[in-house]
Amino acid sequence: MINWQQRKWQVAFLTALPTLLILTGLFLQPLDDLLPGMLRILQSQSVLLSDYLAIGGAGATLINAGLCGFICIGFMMLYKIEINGPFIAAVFTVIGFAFFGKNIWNIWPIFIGVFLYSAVRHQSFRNYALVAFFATTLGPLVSFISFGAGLEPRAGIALGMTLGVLVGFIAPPLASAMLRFHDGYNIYNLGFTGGVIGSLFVAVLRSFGLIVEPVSILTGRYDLIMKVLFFTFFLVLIGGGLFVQPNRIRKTLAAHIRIMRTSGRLVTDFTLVGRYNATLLNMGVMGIIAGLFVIALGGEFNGPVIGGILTIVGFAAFGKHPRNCIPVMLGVVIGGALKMWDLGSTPVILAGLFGTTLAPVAGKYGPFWGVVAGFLHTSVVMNVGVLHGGVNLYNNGFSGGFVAAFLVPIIEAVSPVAGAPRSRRKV
Amino acid sequence: MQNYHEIKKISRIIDELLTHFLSDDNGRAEIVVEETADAHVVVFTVPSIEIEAEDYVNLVNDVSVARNPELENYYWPLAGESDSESELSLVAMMSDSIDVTYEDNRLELRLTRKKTAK
Repeated sequence: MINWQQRKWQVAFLTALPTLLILTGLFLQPLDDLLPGMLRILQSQSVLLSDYLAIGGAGATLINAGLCGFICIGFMMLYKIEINGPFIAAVFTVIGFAFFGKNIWNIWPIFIGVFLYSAVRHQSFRNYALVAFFATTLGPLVSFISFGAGLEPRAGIALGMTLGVLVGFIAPPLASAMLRFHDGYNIYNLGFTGGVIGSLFVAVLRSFGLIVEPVSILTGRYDLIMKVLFFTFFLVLIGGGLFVQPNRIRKTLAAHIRIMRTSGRLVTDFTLVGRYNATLLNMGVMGIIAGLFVIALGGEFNGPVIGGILTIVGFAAFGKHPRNCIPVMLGVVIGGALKMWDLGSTPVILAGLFGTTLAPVAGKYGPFWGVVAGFLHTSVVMNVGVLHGGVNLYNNGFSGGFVAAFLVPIIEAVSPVAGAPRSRRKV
Repeated sequence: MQNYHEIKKISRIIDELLTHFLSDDNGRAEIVVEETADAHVVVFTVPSIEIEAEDYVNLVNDVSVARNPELENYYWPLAGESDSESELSLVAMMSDSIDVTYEDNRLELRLTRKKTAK
Protein backbone atom coordinates (compact mmCIF):
# COMPACT_ATOMS: atom_id res chain seq x y z
CA MET A 1 0.00 0.00 0.00
CA ILE A 2 1.30 3.42 -0.96
CA ASN A 3 1.87 5.74 1.99
CA TRP A 4 2.41 9.30 0.75
CA GLN A 5 3.99 10.24 4.07
CA GLN A 6 6.95 8.09 3.10
CA ARG A 7 9.56 9.87 1.04
CA LYS A 8 10.23 6.86 -1.17
CA TRP A 9 6.71 7.08 -2.60
CA GLN A 10 7.00 10.83 -3.10
CA VAL A 11 10.27 10.32 -4.95
CA ALA A 12 8.70 7.57 -7.05
CA PHE A 13 5.90 9.95 -8.04
CA LEU A 14 8.28 12.78 -8.89
CA THR A 15 10.60 10.59 -10.96
CA ALA A 16 7.75 8.96 -12.91
CA LEU A 17 7.50 11.65 -15.60
CA PRO A 18 11.22 12.06 -16.36
CA THR A 19 11.60 8.28 -16.43
CA LEU A 20 8.68 7.98 -18.82
CA LEU A 21 10.11 10.69 -21.05
CA ILE A 22 13.57 9.14 -21.27
CA LEU A 23 12.28 5.64 -21.95
CA THR A 24 9.87 6.93 -24.60
CA GLY A 25 12.57 9.12 -26.11
CA LEU A 26 14.80 6.11 -26.70
CA PHE A 27 12.16 4.66 -29.02
CA LEU A 28 11.12 7.82 -30.87
CA GLN A 29 14.32 8.49 -32.75
CA PRO A 30 17.00 6.26 -34.29
CA LEU A 31 19.73 5.70 -31.72
CA ASP A 32 22.44 6.98 -34.06
CA ASP A 33 20.55 10.28 -34.40
CA LEU A 34 19.97 10.80 -30.68
CA LEU A 35 23.40 12.23 -29.90
CA PRO A 36 23.44 14.56 -32.95
CA GLY A 37 19.90 15.62 -32.03
CA MET A 38 20.98 16.38 -28.49
CA LEU A 39 23.95 18.38 -29.77
CA ARG A 40 21.63 20.41 -32.01
CA ILE A 41 19.53 21.21 -28.94
CA LEU A 42 22.54 22.17 -26.83
CA GLN A 43 23.94 24.40 -29.58
CA SER A 44 20.66 26.13 -30.42
CA GLN A 45 20.19 29.72 -29.28
CA SER A 46 17.01 28.54 -27.49
CA VAL A 47 15.25 31.91 -27.36
CA LEU A 48 11.45 31.98 -27.62
CA LEU A 49 10.01 30.11 -29.51
CA SER A 50 12.61 27.39 -30.17
CA ASP A 51 10.78 24.09 -30.32
CA TYR A 52 13.33 21.41 -29.48
CA LEU A 53 11.08 18.84 -31.19
CA ALA A 54 11.84 20.65 -34.44
CA ILE A 55 15.51 21.28 -33.65
CA GLY A 56 16.66 18.00 -32.13
CA GLY A 57 13.88 15.51 -32.88
CA ALA A 58 11.37 13.89 -30.53
CA GLY A 59 13.74 11.39 -28.93
CA ALA A 60 16.46 13.87 -28.06
CA THR A 61 13.87 16.37 -26.79
CA LEU A 62 12.22 13.90 -24.46
CA ILE A 63 15.57 12.73 -23.17
CA ASN A 64 16.67 16.33 -22.62
CA ALA A 65 13.44 17.01 -20.70
CA GLY A 66 13.80 13.88 -18.61
CA LEU A 67 17.46 14.59 -17.80
CA CYS A 68 16.67 18.19 -16.81
CA GLY A 69 14.02 16.81 -14.46
CA PHE A 70 16.46 14.32 -12.98
CA ILE A 71 19.05 17.04 -12.42
CA CYS A 72 16.55 18.97 -10.29
CA ILE A 73 15.42 15.84 -8.48
CA GLY A 74 19.09 14.98 -7.88
CA PHE A 75 19.59 18.31 -6.11
CA MET A 76 16.48 17.62 -4.03
CA MET A 77 17.86 14.25 -3.00
CA LEU A 78 21.33 15.64 -2.30
CA TYR A 79 20.02 18.43 -0.09
CA LYS A 80 17.14 16.37 1.39
CA ILE A 81 14.57 18.88 0.19
CA GLU A 82 10.94 18.20 1.04
CA ILE A 83 8.81 17.17 -1.94
CA ASN A 84 5.93 19.62 -1.61
CA GLY A 85 3.76 21.69 -3.93
CA PRO A 86 6.29 24.39 -4.81
CA PHE A 87 9.00 21.88 -5.69
CA ILE A 88 6.61 19.68 -7.68
CA ALA A 89 5.69 22.83 -9.63
CA ALA A 90 9.36 23.70 -10.11
CA VAL A 91 10.37 20.26 -11.39
CA PHE A 92 7.43 20.03 -13.79
CA THR A 93 8.15 23.57 -15.00
CA VAL A 94 11.79 22.72 -15.73
CA ILE A 95 10.72 19.56 -17.55
CA GLY A 96 8.09 21.43 -19.54
CA PHE A 97 10.43 24.20 -20.62
CA ALA A 98 13.05 21.62 -21.54
CA PHE A 99 10.84 21.12 -24.60
CA PHE A 100 11.66 24.65 -25.79
CA GLY A 101 14.51 26.53 -24.19
CA LYS A 102 16.07 24.79 -21.21
CA ASN A 103 18.63 22.11 -21.74
CA ILE A 104 21.11 20.07 -19.78
CA TRP A 105 23.79 22.64 -20.51
CA ASN A 106 22.26 26.12 -20.20
CA ILE A 107 20.72 25.52 -16.76
CA TRP A 108 24.06 24.84 -15.06
CA PRO A 109 25.57 28.36 -15.03
CA ILE A 110 22.39 29.59 -13.34
CA PHE A 111 22.59 26.86 -10.71
CA ILE A 112 26.23 27.80 -10.11
CA GLY A 113 25.26 31.45 -9.68
CA VAL A 114 22.59 30.62 -7.11
CA PHE A 115 25.07 28.33 -5.36
CA LEU A 116 27.58 31.18 -5.13
CA TYR A 117 24.89 33.48 -3.75
CA SER A 118 24.00 30.94 -1.05
CA ALA A 119 27.71 30.63 -0.19
CA VAL A 120 28.03 34.40 0.14
CA ARG A 121 24.99 34.41 2.43
CA HIS A 122 26.48 31.53 4.48
CA GLN A 123 23.35 29.50 3.81
CA SER A 124 22.77 26.10 2.32
CA PHE A 125 21.97 25.93 -1.41
CA ARG A 126 18.86 24.08 -0.27
CA ASN A 127 17.36 27.36 0.91
CA TYR A 128 17.62 28.81 -2.59
CA ALA A 129 17.05 25.68 -4.64
CA LEU A 130 13.49 26.67 -5.52
CA VAL A 131 14.65 29.98 -6.97
CA ALA A 132 17.49 28.16 -8.76
CA PHE A 133 15.06 25.80 -10.50
CA PHE A 134 12.71 28.56 -11.58
CA ALA A 135 15.56 30.95 -12.49
CA THR A 136 16.52 28.66 -15.35
CA THR A 137 13.91 30.68 -17.21
CA LEU A 138 16.94 32.69 -18.38
CA GLY A 139 18.75 29.66 -19.80
CA PRO A 140 18.34 31.06 -23.34
CA LEU A 141 20.49 34.03 -22.35
CA VAL A 142 23.35 31.57 -21.85
CA SER A 143 22.60 29.76 -25.11
CA PHE A 144 22.11 32.89 -27.19
CA ILE A 145 25.38 34.49 -26.12
CA SER A 146 27.19 31.18 -26.59
CA PHE A 147 25.82 30.19 -29.97
CA GLY A 148 23.54 32.87 -31.39
CA ALA A 149 25.41 36.13 -30.98
CA GLY A 150 28.02 35.46 -33.63
CA LEU A 151 30.93 35.57 -31.19
CA GLU A 152 34.03 33.42 -31.50
CA PRO A 153 32.90 30.05 -30.01
CA ARG A 154 35.14 29.91 -26.95
CA ALA A 155 34.55 33.58 -26.15
CA GLY A 156 30.82 33.15 -26.66
CA ILE A 157 30.63 30.15 -24.35
CA ALA A 158 32.74 31.89 -21.70
CA LEU A 159 30.64 35.05 -21.86
CA GLY A 160 27.38 33.08 -21.93
CA MET A 161 28.36 31.10 -18.87
CA THR A 162 29.51 34.22 -17.06
CA LEU A 163 26.20 35.95 -17.69
CA GLY A 164 24.36 32.81 -16.59
CA VAL A 165 26.28 32.72 -13.32
CA LEU A 166 25.57 36.42 -12.83
CA VAL A 167 21.86 35.88 -13.44
CA GLY A 168 21.82 33.05 -10.93
CA PHE A 169 23.63 35.17 -8.38
CA ILE A 170 21.18 38.06 -8.52
CA ALA A 171 18.00 36.00 -8.94
CA PRO A 172 17.28 35.11 -5.27
CA PRO A 173 17.11 38.64 -3.82
CA LEU A 174 15.32 39.98 -6.88
CA ALA A 175 12.76 37.17 -6.88
CA SER A 176 11.76 37.95 -3.30
CA ALA A 177 11.66 41.67 -3.96
CA MET A 178 9.48 41.29 -7.07
CA LEU A 179 6.79 39.49 -5.07
CA ARG A 180 5.77 42.86 -3.66
CA PHE A 181 5.03 44.20 -7.13
CA HIS A 182 2.08 41.87 -7.71
CA ASP A 183 1.48 40.77 -4.11
CA GLY A 184 1.52 37.07 -4.96
CA TYR A 185 -1.28 37.23 -7.54
CA ASN A 186 1.09 36.30 -10.37
CA ILE A 187 2.01 32.68 -9.70
CA TYR A 188 5.01 32.72 -12.08
CA ASN A 189 6.87 35.26 -9.99
CA LEU A 190 10.21 34.20 -11.44
CA GLY A 191 8.70 34.96 -14.85
CA PHE A 192 8.28 38.55 -13.84
CA THR A 193 11.70 38.59 -12.21
CA GLY A 194 13.25 36.94 -15.26
CA GLY A 195 11.55 39.47 -17.51
CA VAL A 196 13.05 42.35 -15.58
CA ILE A 197 16.51 40.77 -15.51
CA GLY A 198 16.32 39.71 -19.16
CA SER A 199 15.14 43.14 -20.30
CA LEU A 200 18.02 44.86 -18.54
CA PHE A 201 20.62 42.43 -19.84
CA VAL A 202 19.28 42.53 -23.39
CA ALA A 203 19.14 46.34 -23.31
CA VAL A 204 22.85 46.39 -22.45
CA LEU A 205 23.65 43.77 -25.10
CA ARG A 206 21.73 45.72 -27.73
CA SER A 207 23.66 48.85 -26.84
CA PHE A 208 26.81 46.91 -27.82
CA GLY A 209 25.27 45.94 -31.13
CA LEU A 210 24.16 42.40 -30.22
CA ILE A 211 20.67 41.96 -31.61
CA VAL A 212 18.47 39.56 -29.64
CA GLU A 213 15.19 38.83 -31.38
CA PRO A 214 12.51 36.19 -30.77
CA VAL A 215 12.29 33.35 -33.32
CA SER A 216 9.51 30.98 -34.33
CA ILE A 217 10.75 27.42 -34.87
CA LEU A 218 7.79 25.09 -34.40
CA THR A 219 6.67 21.67 -35.56
CA GLY A 220 3.43 19.75 -35.30
CA ARG A 221 5.03 16.59 -36.60
CA TYR A 222 4.80 14.74 -33.30
CA ASP A 223 1.32 15.97 -32.41
CA LEU A 224 -0.42 12.60 -32.17
CA ILE A 225 2.26 10.72 -30.26
CA MET A 226 2.58 13.57 -27.76
CA LYS A 227 -1.17 13.70 -27.24
CA VAL A 228 -1.29 9.96 -26.57
CA LEU A 229 1.73 10.12 -24.26
CA PHE A 230 0.59 13.03 -22.13
CA PHE A 231 -3.14 12.28 -21.97
CA THR A 232 -2.18 8.79 -20.79
CA PHE A 233 0.08 10.30 -18.14
CA PHE A 234 -2.67 12.64 -16.94
CA LEU A 235 -5.15 9.77 -16.71
CA VAL A 236 -2.59 7.83 -14.68
CA LEU A 237 -2.28 10.83 -12.35
CA ILE A 238 -6.06 10.88 -11.85
CA GLY A 239 -6.11 7.14 -11.34
CA GLY A 240 -3.21 7.40 -8.92
CA GLY A 241 -4.93 10.14 -6.95
CA LEU A 242 -8.17 8.20 -6.66
CA PHE A 243 -7.21 4.56 -6.52
CA VAL A 244 -3.81 4.01 -4.90
CA GLN A 245 -5.67 4.28 -1.61
CA PRO A 246 -9.12 3.04 -2.66
CA ASN A 247 -10.48 3.23 0.88
CA ARG A 248 -9.90 7.01 0.85
CA ILE A 249 -11.68 7.99 -2.39
CA ARG A 250 -14.37 10.01 -0.60
CA LYS A 251 -11.76 11.76 1.52
CA THR A 252 -9.73 12.51 -1.60
CA LEU A 253 -12.74 14.05 -3.33
CA ALA A 254 -13.51 16.11 -0.22
CA ALA A 255 -9.88 17.23 -0.11
CA HIS A 256 -10.08 18.25 -3.76
CA ILE A 257 -13.05 20.44 -2.93
CA ARG A 258 -10.91 22.04 -0.21
CA ILE A 259 -8.23 22.68 -2.84
CA MET A 260 -10.82 24.25 -5.17
CA ARG A 261 -11.90 26.62 -2.40
CA THR A 262 -8.47 28.19 -2.11
CA SER A 263 -7.61 31.31 -4.06
CA GLY A 264 -4.31 29.85 -5.22
CA ARG A 265 -2.45 33.00 -4.30
CA LEU A 266 1.19 32.44 -3.39
CA VAL A 267 1.93 30.52 -1.13
CA THR A 268 -0.79 27.83 -1.43
CA ASP A 269 0.72 24.38 -1.22
CA PHE A 270 -1.90 21.79 -2.18
CA THR A 271 0.09 18.96 -0.61
CA LEU A 272 -0.71 20.72 2.67
CA VAL A 273 -4.27 21.77 1.84
CA GLY A 274 -5.43 18.50 0.30
CA ARG A 275 -2.59 16.03 0.82
CA TYR A 276 -1.05 13.95 -1.94
CA ASN A 277 -4.03 12.01 -3.30
CA ALA A 278 -6.07 15.12 -3.99
CA THR A 279 -3.01 16.90 -5.37
CA LEU A 280 -2.40 14.11 -7.87
CA LEU A 281 -6.07 14.18 -8.81
CA ASN A 282 -5.92 17.94 -9.34
CA MET A 283 -2.77 17.64 -11.44
CA GLY A 284 -4.36 15.02 -13.68
CA VAL A 285 -7.59 16.97 -14.04
CA MET A 286 -5.73 20.17 -14.91
CA GLY A 287 -3.65 18.27 -17.46
CA ILE A 288 -6.79 16.99 -19.16
CA ILE A 289 -8.38 20.47 -19.11
CA ALA A 290 -5.24 22.08 -20.54
CA GLY A 291 -4.94 19.41 -23.24
CA LEU A 292 -8.59 19.73 -24.25
CA PHE A 293 -8.19 23.51 -24.30
CA VAL A 294 -5.43 23.16 -26.90
CA ILE A 295 -7.47 20.72 -28.98
CA ALA A 296 -10.60 22.87 -28.76
CA LEU A 297 -8.69 25.83 -30.19
CA GLY A 298 -7.28 23.69 -32.99
CA GLY A 299 -3.73 23.78 -31.66
CA GLU A 300 -0.97 21.22 -31.94
CA PHE A 301 1.08 19.57 -29.22
CA ASN A 302 4.39 21.18 -30.19
CA GLY A 303 7.24 21.85 -27.75
CA PRO A 304 6.02 25.18 -26.30
CA VAL A 305 2.44 23.92 -25.98
CA ILE A 306 3.61 20.79 -24.15
CA GLY A 307 5.68 23.06 -21.92
CA GLY A 308 2.59 25.11 -21.16
CA ILE A 309 0.54 22.04 -20.32
CA LEU A 310 3.21 20.51 -18.07
CA THR A 311 3.66 23.82 -16.26
CA ILE A 312 -0.06 23.92 -15.53
CA VAL A 313 0.10 20.33 -14.28
CA GLY A 314 3.03 21.18 -12.00
CA PHE A 315 1.35 24.25 -10.63
CA ALA A 316 -1.76 22.19 -9.99
CA ALA A 317 0.20 21.25 -6.87
CA PHE A 318 0.83 24.89 -6.05
CA GLY A 319 -2.06 27.21 -6.73
CA LYS A 320 -3.93 26.17 -9.87
CA HIS A 321 -7.22 24.33 -9.99
CA PRO A 322 -10.17 24.27 -12.37
CA ARG A 323 -12.15 26.96 -10.54
CA ASN A 324 -9.43 29.58 -10.72
CA CYS A 325 -7.93 28.64 -14.11
CA ILE A 326 -10.93 28.24 -16.41
CA PRO A 327 -12.11 31.88 -16.13
CA VAL A 328 -8.64 33.13 -17.08
CA MET A 329 -8.47 30.74 -20.04
CA LEU A 330 -11.92 31.92 -21.09
CA GLY A 331 -10.75 35.52 -20.91
CA VAL A 332 -7.82 34.70 -23.18
CA VAL A 333 -10.17 32.99 -25.66
CA ILE A 334 -12.47 36.02 -25.71
CA GLY A 335 -9.45 38.27 -26.14
CA GLY A 336 -8.06 36.08 -28.90
CA ALA A 337 -11.40 36.00 -30.72
CA LEU A 338 -12.01 39.74 -30.55
CA LYS A 339 -8.49 40.92 -31.21
CA MET A 340 -6.22 40.63 -34.22
CA TRP A 341 -4.72 37.20 -33.56
CA ASP A 342 -5.54 33.74 -34.87
CA LEU A 343 -7.22 31.84 -32.04
CA GLY A 344 -5.51 28.57 -32.98
CA SER A 345 -2.03 30.05 -33.26
CA THR A 346 0.64 28.91 -30.85
CA PRO A 347 1.15 32.36 -29.20
CA VAL A 348 -2.58 32.65 -28.36
CA ILE A 349 -2.73 29.07 -27.10
CA LEU A 350 0.35 29.72 -24.98
CA ALA A 351 -1.32 32.86 -23.62
CA GLY A 352 -4.28 30.70 -22.62
CA LEU A 353 -2.15 28.05 -20.96
CA PHE A 354 0.43 30.24 -19.27
CA GLY A 355 -2.11 33.02 -18.64
CA THR A 356 -3.27 30.87 -15.75
CA THR A 357 -0.40 32.49 -13.89
CA LEU A 358 -3.23 34.92 -13.02
CA ALA A 359 -5.43 32.16 -11.58
CA PRO A 360 -5.30 33.67 -8.06
CA VAL A 361 -7.16 36.73 -9.36
CA ALA A 362 -10.10 34.50 -10.29
CA GLY A 363 -9.65 32.43 -7.14
CA LYS A 364 -9.78 35.42 -4.84
CA TYR A 365 -12.10 37.86 -6.59
CA GLY A 366 -14.33 35.58 -8.67
CA PRO A 367 -14.65 34.38 -12.26
CA PHE A 368 -15.58 37.77 -13.73
CA TRP A 369 -12.26 39.27 -12.72
CA GLY A 370 -10.52 36.12 -13.89
CA VAL A 371 -11.99 36.65 -17.36
CA VAL A 372 -10.92 40.30 -17.28
CA ALA A 373 -7.40 39.28 -16.25
CA GLY A 374 -7.20 36.77 -19.11
CA PHE A 375 -8.54 39.31 -21.59
CA LEU A 376 -5.93 41.88 -20.57
CA HIS A 377 -3.18 39.28 -20.45
CA THR A 378 -3.71 38.36 -24.12
CA SER A 379 -2.71 41.86 -25.18
CA VAL A 380 0.06 42.46 -22.67
CA VAL A 381 1.87 39.18 -23.30
CA MET A 382 2.03 39.91 -27.03
CA ASN A 383 3.88 43.15 -26.32
CA VAL A 384 6.37 42.49 -23.52
CA GLY A 385 8.45 39.83 -25.28
CA VAL A 386 10.24 42.43 -27.35
CA LEU A 387 11.77 43.88 -24.18
CA HIS A 388 13.82 40.80 -23.39
CA GLY A 389 14.06 39.49 -26.96
CA GLY A 390 12.80 36.05 -25.95
CA VAL A 391 15.59 35.19 -23.51
CA ASN A 392 13.07 34.99 -20.65
CA LEU A 393 11.15 31.79 -21.23
CA TYR A 394 8.41 32.70 -18.73
CA ASN A 395 7.19 35.57 -20.88
CA ASN A 396 3.65 35.05 -19.64
CA GLY A 397 4.86 35.39 -16.05
CA PHE A 398 6.44 38.68 -17.03
CA SER A 399 3.14 39.83 -18.49
CA GLY A 400 1.17 38.40 -15.57
CA GLY A 401 3.12 40.55 -13.13
CA PHE A 402 2.04 43.70 -14.92
CA VAL A 403 -1.59 42.60 -15.24
CA ALA A 404 -1.85 41.57 -11.58
CA ALA A 405 -0.17 44.73 -10.33
CA PHE A 406 -2.50 46.81 -12.48
CA LEU A 407 -5.71 44.91 -11.81
CA VAL A 408 -5.65 43.89 -8.15
CA PRO A 409 -5.62 47.42 -6.66
CA ILE A 410 -8.51 48.36 -8.97
CA ILE A 411 -10.49 45.27 -7.93
CA GLU A 412 -9.78 46.01 -4.27
CA ALA A 413 -11.13 49.50 -4.80
CA VAL A 414 -14.33 48.62 -6.64
CA SER A 415 -15.24 45.08 -5.60
CA PRO A 416 -17.65 44.78 -2.65
CA VAL A 417 -16.27 41.31 -1.92
CA ALA A 418 -12.72 42.55 -1.67
CA GLY A 419 -13.79 45.45 0.52
CA ALA A 420 -15.81 43.39 3.01
CA PRO A 421 -14.88 43.86 6.67
CA ARG A 422 -12.49 41.21 7.90
CA SER A 423 -14.71 40.49 10.87
CA ARG A 424 -17.12 38.65 8.54
CA ARG A 425 -14.64 35.98 7.70
CA LYS A 426 -13.61 33.11 9.86
CA VAL A 427 -10.31 32.95 11.67
CA MET B 1 26.74 36.64 8.68
CA GLN B 2 23.66 37.65 10.62
CA ASN B 3 20.59 37.55 8.41
CA TYR B 4 19.83 41.22 7.99
CA HIS B 5 16.23 40.40 7.14
CA GLU B 6 15.67 38.72 10.51
CA ILE B 7 13.97 41.60 12.32
CA LYS B 8 11.89 42.37 9.27
CA LYS B 9 10.70 38.78 9.18
CA ILE B 10 9.58 38.99 12.83
CA SER B 11 7.70 42.16 11.92
CA ARG B 12 6.03 40.42 9.01
CA ILE B 13 4.95 37.52 11.21
CA ILE B 14 3.33 39.96 13.63
CA ASP B 15 1.80 41.90 10.76
CA GLU B 16 0.26 38.71 9.41
CA LEU B 17 -1.17 37.72 12.79
CA LEU B 18 -2.63 41.19 13.31
CA THR B 19 -4.08 41.24 9.81
CA HIS B 20 -5.58 37.83 10.32
CA PHE B 21 -7.03 38.14 13.80
CA LEU B 22 -7.68 41.79 14.54
CA SER B 23 -11.12 42.80 13.36
CA ASP B 24 -14.04 44.96 14.38
CA ASP B 25 -15.31 42.22 16.67
CA ASN B 26 -11.92 41.51 18.22
CA GLY B 27 -10.70 45.01 18.81
CA ARG B 28 -7.80 44.15 21.09
CA ALA B 29 -4.67 42.14 20.57
CA GLU B 30 -1.58 41.90 22.76
CA ILE B 31 1.86 41.24 21.39
CA VAL B 32 4.99 40.42 23.34
CA VAL B 33 8.26 39.91 21.49
CA GLU B 34 11.22 38.55 23.36
CA GLU B 35 14.70 37.94 22.04
CA THR B 36 16.70 35.17 23.66
CA ALA B 37 20.22 34.03 22.86
CA ASP B 38 19.13 31.70 20.10
CA ALA B 39 15.57 32.62 19.23
CA HIS B 40 12.83 35.19 18.98
CA VAL B 41 9.64 34.38 20.85
CA VAL B 42 6.38 36.07 19.88
CA VAL B 43 3.38 35.72 22.18
CA PHE B 44 0.27 36.91 20.39
CA THR B 45 -2.93 37.09 22.40
CA VAL B 46 -6.49 38.01 21.47
CA PRO B 47 -8.24 38.39 24.86
CA SER B 48 -11.78 38.11 23.56
CA ILE B 49 -12.57 36.18 20.44
CA GLU B 50 -15.21 33.60 19.60
CA ILE B 51 -13.96 30.68 17.54
CA GLU B 52 -16.13 27.78 16.47
CA ALA B 53 -14.76 24.28 16.94
CA GLU B 54 -14.28 23.66 13.21
CA ASP B 55 -12.47 26.96 12.76
CA TYR B 56 -10.22 26.18 15.68
CA VAL B 57 -9.28 22.85 14.09
CA ASN B 58 -8.55 24.64 10.81
CA LEU B 59 -6.44 27.20 12.64
CA VAL B 60 -4.39 24.50 14.35
CA ASN B 61 -3.97 22.70 11.03
CA ASP B 62 -2.85 25.89 9.31
CA VAL B 63 -0.09 26.51 11.84
CA SER B 64 0.95 22.86 12.14
CA VAL B 65 3.37 23.23 9.26
CA ALA B 66 7.05 22.64 9.94
CA ARG B 67 9.54 25.45 9.45
CA ASN B 68 10.61 25.46 5.85
CA PRO B 69 13.71 27.55 5.08
CA GLU B 70 13.49 26.62 1.39
CA LEU B 71 10.21 28.47 1.06
CA GLU B 72 10.78 31.07 3.77
CA ASN B 73 13.80 32.55 2.06
CA TYR B 74 11.83 33.17 -1.09
CA TYR B 75 8.30 33.97 -0.01
CA TRP B 76 8.64 35.78 3.33
CA PRO B 77 7.90 39.24 1.82
CA LEU B 78 4.32 38.06 1.22
CA ALA B 79 3.61 37.61 4.94
CA GLY B 80 1.29 40.31 6.18
CA GLU B 81 0.43 41.47 2.69
CA SER B 82 -3.07 40.00 2.47
CA ASP B 83 -5.87 38.55 4.57
CA SER B 84 -6.22 35.46 2.41
CA GLU B 85 -6.44 32.08 4.01
CA SER B 86 -3.04 30.80 3.09
CA GLU B 87 -0.82 33.19 4.96
CA LEU B 88 -0.93 31.49 8.36
CA SER B 89 0.80 28.56 6.71
CA LEU B 90 3.53 30.95 5.64
CA VAL B 91 3.85 32.16 9.24
CA ALA B 92 4.19 28.53 10.28
CA MET B 93 6.87 27.97 7.62
CA MET B 94 8.77 30.85 9.23
CA SER B 95 8.44 29.46 12.78
CA ASP B 96 10.09 26.54 14.53
CA SER B 97 7.08 26.00 16.74
CA ILE B 98 3.65 27.53 17.29
CA ASP B 99 1.67 26.57 20.38
CA VAL B 100 -2.01 27.47 20.22
CA THR B 101 -4.25 27.66 23.26
CA TYR B 102 -7.89 28.74 23.42
CA GLU B 103 -9.59 28.99 26.80
CA ASP B 104 -12.48 31.19 27.95
CA ASN B 105 -12.55 33.02 24.62
CA ARG B 106 -8.87 33.90 25.01
CA LEU B 107 -6.66 32.88 22.11
CA GLU B 108 -2.91 32.69 22.53
CA LEU B 109 -0.30 31.79 19.94
CA ARG B 110 3.24 31.32 21.14
CA LEU B 111 5.72 31.33 18.26
CA THR B 112 9.36 30.44 18.52
CA ARG B 113 11.71 31.30 15.71
CA LYS B 114 15.29 30.16 16.09
CA LYS B 115 17.91 32.51 14.74
CA THR B 116 19.83 30.06 12.63
CA ALA B 117 18.08 27.99 10.02
CA LYS B 118 20.63 26.78 7.53
